[in-house]
Amino acid sequence: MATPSEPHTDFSAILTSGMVPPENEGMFARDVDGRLVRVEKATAQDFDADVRLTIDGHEVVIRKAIPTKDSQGNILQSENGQPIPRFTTIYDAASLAFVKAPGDQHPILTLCHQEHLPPVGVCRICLVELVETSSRGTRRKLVPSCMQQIAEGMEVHTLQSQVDPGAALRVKTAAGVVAELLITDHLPRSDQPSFLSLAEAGRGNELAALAERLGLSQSRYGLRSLDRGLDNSSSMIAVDHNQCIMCGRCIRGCNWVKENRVIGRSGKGYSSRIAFDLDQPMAESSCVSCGECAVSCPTGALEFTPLFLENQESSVKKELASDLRDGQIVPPEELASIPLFQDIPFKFLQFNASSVVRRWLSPGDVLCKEGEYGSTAFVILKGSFRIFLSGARGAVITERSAGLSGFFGGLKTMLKRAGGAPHLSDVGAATLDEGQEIIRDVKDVILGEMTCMNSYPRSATVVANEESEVLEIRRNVLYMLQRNETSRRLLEKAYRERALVGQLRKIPFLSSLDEGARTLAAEFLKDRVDLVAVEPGQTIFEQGEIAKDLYVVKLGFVKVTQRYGQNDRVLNYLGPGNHFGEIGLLGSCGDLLKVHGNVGHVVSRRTATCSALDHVELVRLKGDDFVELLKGYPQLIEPLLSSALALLERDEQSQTRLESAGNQEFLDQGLYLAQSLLVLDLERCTRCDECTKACADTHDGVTRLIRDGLRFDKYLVASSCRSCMDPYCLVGCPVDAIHRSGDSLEIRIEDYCIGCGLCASNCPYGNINMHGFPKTELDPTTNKERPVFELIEGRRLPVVQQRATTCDLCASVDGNPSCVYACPHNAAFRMTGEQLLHSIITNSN
Amino acid sequence: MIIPALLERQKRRGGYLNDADLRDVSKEQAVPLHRVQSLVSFYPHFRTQPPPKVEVHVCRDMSCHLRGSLPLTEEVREWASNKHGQQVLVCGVSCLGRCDRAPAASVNEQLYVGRDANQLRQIITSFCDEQPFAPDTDQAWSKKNSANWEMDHYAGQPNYEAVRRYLNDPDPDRVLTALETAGLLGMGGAGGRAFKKWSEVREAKGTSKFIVCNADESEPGTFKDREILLNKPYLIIEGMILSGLVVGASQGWVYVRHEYPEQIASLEAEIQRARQIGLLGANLLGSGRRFDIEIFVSPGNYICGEQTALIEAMENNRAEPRIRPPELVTNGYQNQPTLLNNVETFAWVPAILLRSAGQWYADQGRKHGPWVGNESDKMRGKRLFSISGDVRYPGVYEVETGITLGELIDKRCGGMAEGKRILAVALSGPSGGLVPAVIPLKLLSRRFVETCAPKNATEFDIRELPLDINISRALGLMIGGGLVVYGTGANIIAEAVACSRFFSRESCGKCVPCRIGSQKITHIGERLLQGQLSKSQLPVLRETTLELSQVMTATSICGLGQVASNPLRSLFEYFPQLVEQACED
Repeated sequence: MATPSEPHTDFSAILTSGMVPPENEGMFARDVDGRLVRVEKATAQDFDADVRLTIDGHEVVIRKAIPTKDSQGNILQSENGQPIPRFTTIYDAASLAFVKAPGDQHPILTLCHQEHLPPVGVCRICLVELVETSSRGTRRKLVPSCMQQIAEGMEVHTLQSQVDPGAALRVKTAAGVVAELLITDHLPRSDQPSFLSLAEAGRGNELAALAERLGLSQSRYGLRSLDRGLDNSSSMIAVDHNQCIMCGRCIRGCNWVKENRVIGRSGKGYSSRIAFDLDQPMAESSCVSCGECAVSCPTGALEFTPLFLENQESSVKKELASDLRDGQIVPPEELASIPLFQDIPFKFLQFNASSVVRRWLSPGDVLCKEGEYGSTAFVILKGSFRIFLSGARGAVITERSAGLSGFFGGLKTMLKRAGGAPHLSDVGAATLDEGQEIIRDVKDVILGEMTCMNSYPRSATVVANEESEVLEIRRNVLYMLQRNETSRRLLEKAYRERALVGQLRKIPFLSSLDEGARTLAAEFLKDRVDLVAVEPGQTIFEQGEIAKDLYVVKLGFVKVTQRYGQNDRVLNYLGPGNHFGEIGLLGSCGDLLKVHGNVGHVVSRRTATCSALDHVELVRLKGDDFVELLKGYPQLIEPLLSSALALLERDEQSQTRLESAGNQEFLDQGLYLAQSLLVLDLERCTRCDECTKACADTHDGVTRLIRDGLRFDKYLVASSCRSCMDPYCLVGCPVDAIHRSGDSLEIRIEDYCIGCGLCASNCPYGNINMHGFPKTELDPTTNKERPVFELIEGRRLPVVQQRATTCDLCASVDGNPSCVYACPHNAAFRMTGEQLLHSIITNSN
Repeated sequence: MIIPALLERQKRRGGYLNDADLRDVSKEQAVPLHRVQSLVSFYPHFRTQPPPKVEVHVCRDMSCHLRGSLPLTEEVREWASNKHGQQVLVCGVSCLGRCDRAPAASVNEQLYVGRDANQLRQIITSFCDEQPFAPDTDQAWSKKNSANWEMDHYAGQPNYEAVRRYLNDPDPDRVLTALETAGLLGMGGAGGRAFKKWSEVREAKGTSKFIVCNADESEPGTFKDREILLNKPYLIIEGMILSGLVVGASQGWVYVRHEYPEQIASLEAEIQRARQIGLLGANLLGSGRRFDIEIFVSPGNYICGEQTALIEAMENNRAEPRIRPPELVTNGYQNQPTLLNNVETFAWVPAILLRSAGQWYADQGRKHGPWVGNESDKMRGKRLFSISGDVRYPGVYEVETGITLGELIDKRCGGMAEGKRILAVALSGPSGGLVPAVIPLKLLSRRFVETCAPKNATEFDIRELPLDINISRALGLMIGGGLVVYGTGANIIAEAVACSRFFSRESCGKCVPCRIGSQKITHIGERLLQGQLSKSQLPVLRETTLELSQVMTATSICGLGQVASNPLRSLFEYFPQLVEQACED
């Protein structure tokens, strides 16, 4: 690597002389007084503590802790709804300081580290030179930047440091030698024995790309002396142990991201390698083929098989053709060159090769229609689009209702219909008033991502305004964009600028302001609010806590419960557009409210517990900013106070009525979300099972419903897909084979389902089942599907492939699903959750 | 507790684990299968195939290597495979810790030392006939080693006086002051000041604190702890009790390698005795203080001796070193403050406390000598060295800090064996590389030469090396508890390569520079050894080796990776002529 003309790397500054190893005590292990610091978990206070350090001579001031994020870039929250802090590392600090836009080169090289994974520091590629100056003198050492926490007064040098060229050279030489060791053993070789094949560099082999960046083209070391073998047992993923660099990304992907817990390390030292379960071949292990390991792998060690990729592509082509859609599948190589996608692992793009379709639109062409279910978003590459509400009537009003009729207070926005399709103008990305029209272009980056994320119907119609070009991306690609810090920043910026002001304008308590003031108030709030994601079941705040913030629901449903003695009771469910938390917050406004008298009832503590029912995204307004807002617009105070008092009073009254309905289970089971329940009237049902048989007959002999389930009074809710409003099952499918499209409620599972079982385990109601099907492939000569066979012990047997199945709302002769049609006793019905509740209450009265 | 569960099953199954055992353990312990696999495949003590009837392990490191253990193994292996086929397995293993009686071997875990091929064949045959030969013991050999050690203030009649005095008048600061006065250094290799670590653990905050004694003595050439464990277990126990009382810990462990069965038995017996007389347990001598000790037998691997890897093993993980910070002092076993010291460090504590509160120990040590310079005051106390190889009487010797290597060899070890001259010395097992008999001054630390070298000196005779960790370091040499002396006739290149092989075999594989680097640097040595290199390649190869060595030292996570390149590097730096002679023209 080092040519004679290059300056000689001088390691004497960081190494002791001769044979003596350097001191092993960690850098910055002690405080300023020289005392060893016990490493505890980061606390919320660390979010506000500033740490000053220099990186390559630039002073950087960064918070001591940043929020922990999951693999989707969502901020993880503790049980009490606060973000979980983690200590900021040198790598994080360098990202924040030097990587501002997608495509910016990170000054620190990495291999085993990925932002969304807990760091392990084993590849030693991300080492930086750290200088510690204290009363005990100055120490220098190479440390893994992915693990070393930042500390006050740190001096960091990367391989780009111009203020300390000696350090930069040491970092570069160290990374160079480590990379050279890796390429010697783990890059596939071309025919020339000492030269390494770098052809892989553009195709996602991060090791080859790293070698290229470091200017390595050959190795000075002896060839690999061990053949660690291949594992071709899986038809989806090929394992080449010789290319494995033991970075542990697949292990963390399998255990930490997916919690499948199949992959681990086996053996010791030079011969160690990854292993599935008890070192079984992949196909014989408990692997569910979710693909996470291959997507995580930085080398050719875990690759999707060509057969698998071909099959995926041909099924998408088939789907495109059957949907009569135009468009061109964008190959992963091309996608990788677009800045927004640049930091996405190549193998993910490859895995989802067919998830991105390029579409060209002429002026007037419709990109999507209001009310359609769509599981895709659109990245605007060229041109501009007009966005408007298609129906002229029935614009959605977000209002809070009282009493039992307001049982679904928050749902109200969802269920009011305009022109047949749910009207969601204040939910999605576009926030429009009736008759209003807005233009979006390349600067807005993306369109339709809200619908894509939450599986709600499209909130507006989008039509090309000129010759335009978009990339239509699936939900899983959008998720991946959110995994990546820089892409995520772009998306969040777009959201803040495009949707947030509109959404804030619609907060009901601002309705007492006139149009102009409301816009000003929303602008005031725009830069002050946080965007927060809450996982199902997590508490946002607890009854009795000191109130700090006010929230607006952006996505999902929030459950409001109150404790009475030993029991919790549900007060309300709040859907998108609703706000909550203002009652407690008003109580803490103190002096501001005194003039209005009658604050006796209003307390500064939370009067109820709020928790997430499903995946919830919130806009959080901090208490201080809320007070500022009220100071600026005192006319808001009076209506807020009276509505708060009314709510408190209503809660008292409604308690008894709620209890008499006695339908806690109805709520707990999430039936309020259901849009199409299969309900059997047990007074009429003779248990003849014709419904089950009809279902099986319609679906290749496999029934998709089970005539058993929850009972309410005389009604049985059978185990069959309920077509939830926000289906959990859609979340996380690695190949996006499960989705909803068009204006059908149906949850569709495509033929290219890989059988990983995630949707089945996601469905809280057990309504998705895994079944073995004979595997088929496209016969190129006849262009028809034919079964696939394999030879097992000399016998030619059909290959059985696991696939998920669920109710597809099949339409039979009379337009009803076959189960309903088949019932000879008129005992089977399809109804929404609300209709069912209504029936139950009517019946019990 | 996955590791104990696996050990238990392996015992029940008769020496191995089958698939069902592994699945059962996974289920019982509620851990994924891959966790079980990761442990079973990492620790050499676990096996997943039934063992052969007779299994012979021959040590392949340092003194045993010097005594021809490699050709010995080959010869016996060939014979056994011809004569007994699959029934007998003969293989090389890493250092067994019997370097003083090389070559060492174990047959079905019974020890046999100093045997030639003929004797080994007889022993194997006796096992095949199910009438095993009586094994050799450390006990029979070692009495003379430790009889007069001043370390043992009790002269073999322990009454735990230091603990008794402490419990009568508990004053942690007095203990710490005595350790500071004494200047006791950690004997595990790093040589940190013992009182400092003790104070730091004492000050560290945690819900509980732990004491761990590192008795995983696996460094080739090192067997001093073996003798303390066997003959002076009470000193270790007393040192641990005192440390527990001082830092506020109530539980201690002795982490000991499984190749030390006699030592484990001796320690276990003394622990039982101490419990009986109330010196271990819930209420030490009625004081209300609690402290107890358990033995943790290592499932194997040199890397377990690395302190953070040792804690990982105790926590049922692969013994892979941790990235620091945090330090064990604040975040050790179960994430609690942990005091981890070497066997010898604990063993010196009673004598230090009982003899003029540390002053006696401080007064020990050679304060004068040609290469001492201004470091003389730092040379305090006494310590043990294990020395083997080409000396007449290999063994463990208690010496004053700062006596010269020449003195140790001539006055204590009876001089060199068979009138040989020194060719090379390994001063810290294989970790410090091989050092020649005479070192040109330009290869020593320049700062040291300028301040401490005697006038007119042109080279450094290794016999004049003061056996002191600080002076050695200042010279650029590493000194540890195990010295191996190579005399005339030794093939220095072969010995260095053998040391390099040791590290590449014992690398845990966690970080890249050690996992692959140790392999590549050994490969360079192998080619040199086999005469596959030409003189024209040498300059580039030398450059490559030195750069790789520096990067391995600068980037490896733990001490193993940091020193793994030293054997080859020392060969290129200190023995350039030998290297050149080994190359073809």
